[in-house]
Amino acid sequence: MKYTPVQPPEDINVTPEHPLKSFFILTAGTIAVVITIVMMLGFFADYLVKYIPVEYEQQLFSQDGLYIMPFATDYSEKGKHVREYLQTLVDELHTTAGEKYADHQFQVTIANDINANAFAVPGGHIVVTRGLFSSVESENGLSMILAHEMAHHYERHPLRSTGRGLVVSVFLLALLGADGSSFIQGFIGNTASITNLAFSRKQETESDEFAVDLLLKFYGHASGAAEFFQFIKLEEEHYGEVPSFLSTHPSTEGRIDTLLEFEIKNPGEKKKLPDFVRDYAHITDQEI
Amino acid sequence: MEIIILLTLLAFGYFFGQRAEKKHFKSIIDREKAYLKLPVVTMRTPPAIHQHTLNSELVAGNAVISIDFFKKFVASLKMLFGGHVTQYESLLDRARREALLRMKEQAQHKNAFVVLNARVETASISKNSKRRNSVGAVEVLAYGTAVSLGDKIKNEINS
Repeated sequence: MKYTPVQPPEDINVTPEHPLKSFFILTAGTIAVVITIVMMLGFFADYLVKYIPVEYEQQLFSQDGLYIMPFATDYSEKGKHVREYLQTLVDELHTTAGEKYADHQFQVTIANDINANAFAVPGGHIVVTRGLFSSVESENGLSMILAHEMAHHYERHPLRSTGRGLVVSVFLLALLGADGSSFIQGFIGNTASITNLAFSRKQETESDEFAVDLLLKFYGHASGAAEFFQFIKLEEEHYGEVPSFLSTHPSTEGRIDTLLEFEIKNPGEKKKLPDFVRDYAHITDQEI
Repeated sequence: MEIIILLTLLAFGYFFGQRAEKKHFKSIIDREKAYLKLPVVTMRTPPAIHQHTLNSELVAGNAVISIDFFKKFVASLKMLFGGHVTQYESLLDRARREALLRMKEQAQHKNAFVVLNARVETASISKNSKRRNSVGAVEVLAYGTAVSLGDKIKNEINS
């Protein structure tokens, strides 16, 4: 046997291909596929929600069911008094909303948190933080927020988001497995949540529109509609704003503009907040 | 925030990974040329008539090469779609050639003129034992029988 020394060429075992090329193709492909699937699953979940009766939702998310309370509840005497006031306000607004939504029922809870916020939690729950009372000046401003959260319920938004979240997590779980901390899982998970944010922003706009209409029906004018958002804007100027496409909510400036326009078209006199509600805004931690 | 971390890691992985790979390939090619005269074959035994005149001994070369973050990221995306995972190809090629070169270097020290019965084995060294699918680094072991001339035949040649 004879041995002839020859150096073989380089690209037999290594494909000659620029690494960045496959990176861009694969990243773009993954993003496109995830967005498409998440949107499809989302529409599915959205579509099915209207077949779930309100009653069943209330049962499922009742206090002894799946109800999730993100904060500690305020059980103090003052808190109870304010809660009753809010509940009455919500019930009155609900009556104004009309027959179409008669199957809804609301349960107001005050959360012991100093940041001004309110959420609609599945099952007809409206959670209002203690800090909210220092963000509004009039009853009209408060009603606007309550009406906004009620609108979320009327449009079944909390249930839709829950359903969408559930379907999307099952999809991600099936695709990536359960031991989720690698970067690839983070990458795909983030793409999915950014896609979902677009739906969330749409829901906020819908609820704003509904709420301002309800406010107009209830008081006969729309004064105070922008109060809360003006307060939020001041906070944002202080702490910095999240870019719109990364946020669950539309830009505050845009919301204020729309609402102020509505206020100017439908002017009227604002109703003052009762004194005990105003005082509650300045309650100290010791009193709770 | 997460996106910024990811992009930074990708950029670092790409830059350092590509640089190390280029440097390594250059060194591999240079040394391969230097050792070109020493054949490595998979034949199990030398022709029978020569056996009593030859010395034979085990030689082995071992190399562990790690993948960079960039390639790992692209490879895991590739695994969602399927197909040739070209990102791992250069990793394995480098490890295999480096191991063979180290084996040859050992054989050279033993004055071998051929390495018989050469074998290459691969094992993956995973960073996290819980995630068995993830390849952090790859180990390649090359081993064979270095054959050199025995003392008897050397003396005969010398005299």
